[in-house]
Parts: sequence; C-alpha cells; structure tokens
Amino acid sequence: MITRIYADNYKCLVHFEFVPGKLNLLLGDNGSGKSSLFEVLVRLRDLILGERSTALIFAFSKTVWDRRSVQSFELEIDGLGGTFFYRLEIQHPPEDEPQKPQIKSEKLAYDGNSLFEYREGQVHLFQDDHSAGAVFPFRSDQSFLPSLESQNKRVQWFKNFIAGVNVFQLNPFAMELFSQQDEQFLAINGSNFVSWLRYLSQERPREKRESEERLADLIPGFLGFAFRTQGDRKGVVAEFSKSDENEYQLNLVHLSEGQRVLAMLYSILHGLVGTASVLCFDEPENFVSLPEVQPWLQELRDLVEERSGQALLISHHPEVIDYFAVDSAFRFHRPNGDLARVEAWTPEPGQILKPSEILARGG
Amino acid sequence: MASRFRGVLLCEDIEHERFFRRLLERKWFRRTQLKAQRIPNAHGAGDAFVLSRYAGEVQLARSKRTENYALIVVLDGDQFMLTKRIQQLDEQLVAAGLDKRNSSDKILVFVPTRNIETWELWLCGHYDLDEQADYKEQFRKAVGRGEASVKESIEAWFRQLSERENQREQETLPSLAAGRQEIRRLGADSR
Repeated sequence: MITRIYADNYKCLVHFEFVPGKLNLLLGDNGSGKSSLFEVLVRLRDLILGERSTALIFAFSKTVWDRRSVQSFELEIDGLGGTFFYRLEIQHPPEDEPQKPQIKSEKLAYDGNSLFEYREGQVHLFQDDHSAGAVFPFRSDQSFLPSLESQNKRVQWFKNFIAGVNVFQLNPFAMELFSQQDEQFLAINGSNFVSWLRYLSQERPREKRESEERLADLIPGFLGFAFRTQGDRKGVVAEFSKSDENEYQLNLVHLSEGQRVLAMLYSILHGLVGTASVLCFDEPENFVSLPEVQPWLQELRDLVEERSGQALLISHHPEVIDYFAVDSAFRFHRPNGDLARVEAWTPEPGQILKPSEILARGG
Repeated sequence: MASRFRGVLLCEDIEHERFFRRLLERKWFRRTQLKAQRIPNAHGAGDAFVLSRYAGEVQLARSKRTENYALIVVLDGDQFMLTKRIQQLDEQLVAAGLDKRNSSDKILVFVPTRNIETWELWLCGHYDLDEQADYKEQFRKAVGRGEASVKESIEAWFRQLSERENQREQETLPSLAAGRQEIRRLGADSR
C-alpha cells in the first residue's frame, strides 16, 4: 500500500505531500491538483517500467512560476513487512535551451537500506547484505530500474507493485469494438476493454463471472459477455434474455455509454482489486445513472477491505461525496490560486447539511 | 429462496450498514438493489438522522406497495430500548401526518440494544453480555484479536439454534430475538 506521495516543482504541486489510506476520496475544485496527483503516479510508473523516456514523461511538467530547475518525487510503500522508499530527481533545462529533462538522481531503499541508486551519471548496485556492489555509468534519459534483472526479491516486488498502479478515466466513446489479442493491462480510458476482457476471461474467469453477475442485477435481461471471432479479430457481444426466455445478443456498440462504463467499472473491481496494487478512478460515476452509483461504491469499499486493496477516487458527485465523506475524504485546495494543499476533510460535528451540500456552498 | 426485494436500508452509520447489508444480501436483496442511507458525518447523531429521515422513507415505501420494495430501518436501542425506539419512530410518522407503521407495510425495524456491537459480539460467541452496557470497545478489541468479525456474526445468524440457545438469547438479548422475528416478515426462513 502506498503510504506517502511527495511531489515538488510538478505543475501546482510544490513541496506537496499526500498520506493516503486504503480508501481515499479526493475532493476539491477544478485545478486544485487532484488529477495532477494521479499524473505523478502514472509518470513514475512509466519511468520505472521503462515505458517512455524522461523527455516524453516529464516535458512541460515543471511548476511554471518556480525558478528551480530540479523536480523531485518520493513514494513510500508498505510491503514485505517493511517500507520501500523511492526518490527521483529530474533536472530540467532552462526554457530557452534545447536539452530535455533528465534524471539527476534516483534511489530505491527498503527499511533505510539502499537497493539501487543513480547519481552523477553512475548506477550503484547493492548486495543483499546491503554492502556496495557494482558501479557503472548509465544514460540519464531513462531509469535503470527496468533493466535491473535483480534476483533481489525486494526490487522485484517493488517493480511488480508499481506495475500494478492503475489510473482510470473511463471514456465509453473511446472503446474499441474489436480486439486482435489479449491484453494484460486496461488502458487509462478503457479503450482496449475488449482485449483486456479476453485476458480476464482466460486468466481470471471467476472474477469475470462475478462482475457479470453484478451487471445482471443492474441491466435487465443481461446474462454475460461472449466473444465472437470475425476474421483475425474478436468482438464482444452482450447476451440477453427476454421475458419469453428467448435469448439475443447485442454488439458493444448497441449498449448505451452508461452500460459500457458499468461493464468496465465492475470488471475492474472484480478483476483488479487486490490484484492491482492501487486503483485510481478519475470521476468514475460519469455516464452512470444515479441509482447505479452507490452499489458500485459499496462494492468498491467491500472489495478493498476484503482483499486488502487500495483505491483513490476523484469525484464531484454528491452520491460519492456523501458515501465516503464519513471516513475517507481529502480536500485539495489552492488558496489564492497558489500551491496545492491537501487535508483530511469531514464536516464539522453536528452539521445538518450533507457533506455534498456543504461543499456545494464552498465548504 | 425468498423473492428478492429492492429498497432502502435506513441506518445510523457504517457499522450498521456493514452488518445489515451483509445480512440482507444473503437472502433477500441483491447488492445492487439495496440503497443505504446513513449519516454521512463521522461524529453526528446517527439516531437523529434515522428519525429525521424515517417519515420520508416510509412515505416513499408506501407509494411502492405494489412493487417488491422494502424499507429496512436500524436504530440502536442505546438507553431507550426497543419499545421506546418504536414509539419514537411512530411519533415521526404522526408528526408528518402519516399513519403509524402497521403489519401491511413492508417496513422492518431493527433495534440492536445497546448497539450493533452487542449483537455482533453475541453472535460471535461472547455470551457474557447484557443490553445495558456498551461493548463497542470490546468488539473492536475482539476483532483485533481475530475473535470476532462482521462476517462471522452473519454466519452465526443463520446457524440453527437449539431450544436452550434460543431461550438464552431471548432472555439476555431480547432485541436480537425480536430482530430474528422481524426479518421473517421478508419471507423464507431467517436462519
């Protein structure tokens, strides 16, 4: 579980620290830094997994009004009975120079003992007994961690954990209707849902079935998803039964946008909570009708508690706010449009108005 | 299996919601068809919340008489006990110009006394209890030691009781015995 996220000189996050719990509702006005926090997680994940170079990951991400050229990030993660600490410094060039952002330093430690360091252009490796190991030069436009074929189970655990950080901003209009192959990871906007559902049906069929059972309660007549081969690709059809017991099938395109989002939301819950390290949802209730919001939140809370998962939600929806404000809300704000700040938020004791009503009146 | 309902769980807090949702989802409600209404503040007066929302929820439930709709109300007995709590709820209806709850209403009222943690501890096999003392802290510690859990208490609810166990429950925790009777109104066997 992530226990601390720190970002400095990243967009509106300056000396910004967030200490999440297992379940976290992020509240706040537009532009208060909520989505920037999710971006930090995605960018660190992409760097640590070697998805993209620092130039692509960190370009145009520095705080505009901050003259310091170094940007820094830290993560603290509980795992394997101890605490992992990861720190990254990105050196940004002056605005009028053509160089690209590069890694100034990078460090991974476990309970205070270094597992890997990069500084002054050199990689420093460490033995299992924490003594210094090999030192060699390495490029500064990407992390060495993806290349670190370590037998050290802690390094491997950390990389697996980071690979399991998922951020979702689901968009039913982006959903591709056909799939060429199974895909292990669902895209941030859910565009490859069909490919990921193929993976889920192969690797975790019970979880796929559980999510379909929930959907059957919400979508009248819905039975489940099935795959249909068309040439070298596969599509998904939703199987329905009518009251006369005849069955029929609908292509995804015939489902409403809300139904497609529900399909993704429940599949993510059952397929990923407890398997993925952290699930982040940016306004998951978009496209979902009012009575369908709370059941999903209940399911999320139950699964996070039962499977020891961790989830972060951004939402402005009254139903979400009133459900989670009791014990899991954090409010982001930028006093006078300045730096982003965050604090645990719950209404004053004795407030008669609902939390969402209080927030709608400016808090 | 009894037919599945949809409806509202009007309760005080997240502890009520955890227990009763799990209980009700075992036989009578699908997860997606039971909307919880509980106090959204961490430090508020849960009983005041339930009492203030009761008349509105009853009015809505009565408008859905022809549907498979049920209202489930949970209010800790605290120092008031079962009879007084039922009376307080009735008073809310009278004040709103509505008829008192009657047997034709699909409105179930549960009054865990002294509070839900008393029931949960009892169901998890801690029998040295009464309805006067507050066992919240004791339940929390029992959970921490792995000696109790909401899940375990729900399993115990559905366990067949011997005549002797039944009698002990009725004498020691009449609110729980009343709760078992109340849930029979949803149909099917409650155990």
